[in-house]
Amino acid sequence: MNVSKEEFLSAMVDDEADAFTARRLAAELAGSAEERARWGRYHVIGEAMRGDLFKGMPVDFSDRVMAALDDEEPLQVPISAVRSKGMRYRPAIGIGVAASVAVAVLVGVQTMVTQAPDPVNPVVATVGSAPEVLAVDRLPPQTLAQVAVGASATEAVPSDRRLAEQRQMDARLNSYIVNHAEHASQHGLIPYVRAVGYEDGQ
Amino acid sequence: MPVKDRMGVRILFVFLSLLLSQVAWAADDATRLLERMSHAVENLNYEGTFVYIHGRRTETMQIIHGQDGGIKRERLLSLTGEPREIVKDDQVLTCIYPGTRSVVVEPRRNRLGLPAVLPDRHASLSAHYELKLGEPRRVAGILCRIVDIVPRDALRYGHRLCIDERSAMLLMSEMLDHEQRVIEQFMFTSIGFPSEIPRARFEPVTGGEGFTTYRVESGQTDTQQPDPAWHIQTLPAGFELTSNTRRSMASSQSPVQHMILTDGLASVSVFIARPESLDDMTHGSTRAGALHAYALPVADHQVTVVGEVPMQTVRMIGESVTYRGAR
Repeated sequence: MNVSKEEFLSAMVDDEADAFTARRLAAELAGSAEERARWGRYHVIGEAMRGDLFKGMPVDFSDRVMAALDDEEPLQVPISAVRSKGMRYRPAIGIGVAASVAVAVLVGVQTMVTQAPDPVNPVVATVGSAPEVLAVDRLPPQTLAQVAVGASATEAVPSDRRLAEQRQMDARLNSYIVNHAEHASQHGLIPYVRAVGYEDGQ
Repeated sequence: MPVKDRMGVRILFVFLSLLLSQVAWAADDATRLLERMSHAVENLNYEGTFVYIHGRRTETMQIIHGQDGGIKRERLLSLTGEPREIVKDDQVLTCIYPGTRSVVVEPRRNRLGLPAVLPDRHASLSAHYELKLGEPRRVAGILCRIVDIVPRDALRYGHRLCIDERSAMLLMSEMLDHEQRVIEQFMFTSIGFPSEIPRARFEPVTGGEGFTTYRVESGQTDTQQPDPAWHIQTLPAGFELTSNTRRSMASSQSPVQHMILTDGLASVSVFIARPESLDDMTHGSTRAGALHAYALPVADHQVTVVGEVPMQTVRMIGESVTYRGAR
């Protein structure tokens, strides 16, 4: 991106770009991860400069979320019960092959992405860091082996078949979340619908 | 009682009455503002960018919402990470995920016939939440008013909203747990209210060839009779079953039973589907910000509970699902 484009982008972030420039830049943003990251950084910087970012959010927000994630029981697999029934259950949704969820909220929109917590390489978002979608975390092989009923250690690394199954499972959950957004949200006082995508990470 | 003391009691009584009426007035005001917001977010034309912060992630999204020829349309594009996109009109909701080269198409539901609100919504709300009108604040260059919705127990989340009092548009929203910890936050960084939005602005900019499309085929959208043998034995305090339907859904071969529970603010969906094979059963949980999902097998069916409530609540509901019938 040249200097002139950066200026245009900055103007767009500040809502000062004209409509034509904004449309052109939006199209470019859609096609370039690097420029989207830059766009996100400009927003974070702009909000930080205006003092609007994270107002009301505790300073140790990230740490608290990490602590909450650590406290959360990630998986319940009643292996003995499953075996007695002769069934084979897969690891929990979004856990074996961690998936990311794109949720759109906010009046029908908002986007959230989830993944299994990575105990090895925790990533903490900080003010000023690029708000990139993080790479997909994968549970350590031994964890997979523990949770996949009937799986041997050699099956710890997800096979193409398992990835395909996981993708199908993700699509099903995605469909459920979209249906939840479409049907259930209207009962609440808060009108934002959640339309959701369950996105398998790369 | 001496005259002086009686006077003191009266003054105290008047003071307390004024205080209580002030509190009631503030709660009423908060309710009115929330109702205006409900209408505004659905009916206003707006175009803006917001950040969405949840857990360790920050996302930037662009939203365009408005009407074109009397049809409500909306387009959302993620500006960070994969360019995920969601486009809605009155007929379909299309989710495009270039990361997985997939497109999910869901028909928009005819909302007529479903209760738009709970009959005793306010009574139910006040039983489980406290509404408070807060201080003014500035978001995206616009002065807005804080409204706090504080849960009275740990089974649901609280909300802190900032609403533009002039347009009634929601400009910021935080979801908080019972200990006031922020679970997720979204906030506009810029927003405009154009009088008209050209149709072309609602066209998707992502997608293309080679994408797998999941959709409900036409003719499969009719609602079927739900199986009455499915029950939720123990509902969390304040939650009521408000809908029980059975219909086809994208990426599910057989019809899915969908039960909806709500406490007037938070809502939880229970999906019950017959798996293609028993190998397809899942037991586990996942989360995304405030949204939790819990899946478990019950009576050879896959039960999946989804809602913007704490994990303990979706788990409690999931484990209460039973089948009371001959199989």
